[in-house]
Amino acid sequence: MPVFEEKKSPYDLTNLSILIAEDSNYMLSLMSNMLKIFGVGDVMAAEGGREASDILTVTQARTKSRYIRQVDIVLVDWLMPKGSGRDFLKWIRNHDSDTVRFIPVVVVSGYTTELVTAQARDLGANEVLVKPVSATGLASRICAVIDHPRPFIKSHNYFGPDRRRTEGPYRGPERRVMEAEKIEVQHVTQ
Amino acid sequence: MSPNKFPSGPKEVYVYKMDNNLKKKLGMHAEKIKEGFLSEASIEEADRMVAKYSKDGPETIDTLLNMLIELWAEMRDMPKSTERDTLSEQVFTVSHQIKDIAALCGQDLISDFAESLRDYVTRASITIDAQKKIIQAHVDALVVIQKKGIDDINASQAEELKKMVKIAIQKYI
Repeated sequence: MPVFEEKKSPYDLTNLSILIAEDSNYMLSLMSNMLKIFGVGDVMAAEGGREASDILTVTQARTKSRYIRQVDIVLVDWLMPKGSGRDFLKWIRNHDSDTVRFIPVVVVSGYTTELVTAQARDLGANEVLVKPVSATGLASRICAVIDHPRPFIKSHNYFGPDRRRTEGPYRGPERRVMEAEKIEVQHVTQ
Repeated sequence: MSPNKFPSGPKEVYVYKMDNNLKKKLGMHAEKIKEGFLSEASIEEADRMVAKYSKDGPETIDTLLNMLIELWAEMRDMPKSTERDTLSEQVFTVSHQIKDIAALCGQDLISDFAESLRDYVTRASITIDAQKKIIQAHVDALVVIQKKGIDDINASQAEELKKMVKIAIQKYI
């Protein structure tokens, strides 16, 4: 029996900073208000991927400033005229800085096709949320990002969170480019 | 080990194990609290807000629909040019936004037609009359459904309408 058992209480998201990249004012306002109701301390908004990358460039810079909070999670719409979610996600995962390339990204998509979900996953999205956005859906994705930070994998054609969500014996054809024992494991504290 | 499937690429694979910095930031112990949650009250409040947004949705759809009508009127007889491509992209974006908002408001028929228009605009060259007629039919259908408020037409009529548009699209893509 543990002497001290921590009481289960809801997350207090006051210290969290979330960036939303969304071109529709209506959706942007809806999602940012939802996040504020959830108690997220800082919600930043961008009308497209290009503006969002400018924001991350400033917020994730190593030079610490008490006035600039680092973004913890990015919510990105897939389809935006001023810099698509796809390009923005690529930009994030190919970035030189660890504070940018390891950032958790939730893709929010009005496309319900498997193709878009697969594309988002293969470009390194942590989670995909299909529109129309519901309070439960958004809350569950945020909790998933907080609760289950998957290890990142870097191979010759992929960089992003481990796409396998469960651990178990592999039964498919052997396609690995490297033996498991030889894979280099690094610890990231950021 | 089987032969390398990507012989030209490097063979190194790296795994980066992550510290749970987000949990630390929230003042939670990563090991003790495996799975957290948001308060039920805040989710309920957010749901109420979504319902309020849904009420305002038709007004936003009206505004977007007017934009769509203007964009289409401007581009429909334009020869192929970069200017027309830009307008076509805008039609795509506006119909995509209508689709999202209508879906949130439970206006499924508007959402379906807006999605169909969005997808058609990207696939069709819009150079022949039949293609223009299909786009016009989408715009007209959206206007009728929105302005006359016939989103509650019964499921079989809606399915019939969608089927007809689908057949026309397949014919004139």
